[in-house]
Amino acid sequence: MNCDEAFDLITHPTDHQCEELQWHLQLCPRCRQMQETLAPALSSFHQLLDASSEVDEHANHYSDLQQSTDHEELPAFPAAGKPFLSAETVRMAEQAATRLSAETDMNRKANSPAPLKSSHKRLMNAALILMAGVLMGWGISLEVPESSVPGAASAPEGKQSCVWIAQRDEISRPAVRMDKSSVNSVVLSCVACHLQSTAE
Amino acid sequence: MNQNLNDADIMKRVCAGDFLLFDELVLRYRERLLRFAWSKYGRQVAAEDLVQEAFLAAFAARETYNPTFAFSTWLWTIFLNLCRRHYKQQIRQPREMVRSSFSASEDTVIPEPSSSETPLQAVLKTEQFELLTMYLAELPEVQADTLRLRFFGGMKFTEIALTMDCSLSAAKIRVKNGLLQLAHRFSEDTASEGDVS
Ligand SMILES: [Zn+2]
Repeated sequence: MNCDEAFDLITHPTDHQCEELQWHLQLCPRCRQMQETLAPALSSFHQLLDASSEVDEHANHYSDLQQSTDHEELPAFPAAGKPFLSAETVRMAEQAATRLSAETDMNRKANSPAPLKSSHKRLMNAALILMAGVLMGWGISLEVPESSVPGAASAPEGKQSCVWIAQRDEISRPAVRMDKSSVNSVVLSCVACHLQSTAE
Repeated sequence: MNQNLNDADIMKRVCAGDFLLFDELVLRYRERLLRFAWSKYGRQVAAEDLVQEAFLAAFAARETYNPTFAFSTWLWTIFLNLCRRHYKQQIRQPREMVRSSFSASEDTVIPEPSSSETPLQAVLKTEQFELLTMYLAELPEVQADTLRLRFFGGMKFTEIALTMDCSLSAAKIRVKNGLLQLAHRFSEDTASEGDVS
């Protein structure tokens, strides 16, 4: 597990206590620090989710009861042909479908080339991370279209750009209000951690 | 039995005319959409209406659904768009929600908070939820929405990226930055409580 995957689990709504993550946290002081920093927010979400999942069964039972009594009078969904929505909303849903189709197609094509051996893949990832760091850190522009930059907006799953490096850009944006000292301490240490675990 | 069908299979059968099966999708996602909506709009009727409208839109546009993408991603995309539109309308003028003939059957799907309260709603009424909602509202909207999608929507980062039309790393950064700010807010609160005592 690398630090990116650990972050997925730390912020996972349900699997945040899984064994794999605990192992990683024991071995990785940076992710441990990250988890501790985020803990007040995470625990708030997790407590609420735990509480509501405990009552979900009751809620489902409740709505099942409601539906079984109401169904006799009204079907849950109207028969086809009844007017029920603005054309604009339906059009919006159709456009969303079109966009998602196009993007999943694109991701599929991007993922289709023969898979690299995992050791090669790790080296490639490490190289990409270094390159991204160099480009972002030194502000060099190669005047390459964004889509062809590794880890740019359309990066497919499996070729993740490094969150910890990208974070530095985000911090420098004035719109984002943060406690800089805590952010920097966590984030910058994670850059090194992430490099290690990706290249190992 | 319907529980064994995946979303794509259900949509296939809905498109073939088995309309009532769409109910299963409503059951699967309603709660998560509602959690999101309540955390964004509080316990206003608008929250329930927006959830309802999202399902209706997906149902009406069912022929354009394509199993190459997840139904959930599509539903969340529709829902987020509706939320954004609602927000713009709210700013321009408080306007009545688009109501449909279907809304007559609304109560069969979403129990009204006012009349009879579900246990979930009871949880969402807690002080803790209200505090979280308040702090979320202080964040930039995209950041707060990303957190809501992650925790209340239970979405993977790849799904969030697709839904919000952003990169995977942007989705993760939003979650991380949002959590950092929330954590900071919660810590401030604890510190000030300590000062008082
Ligand atoms: Zn780590």
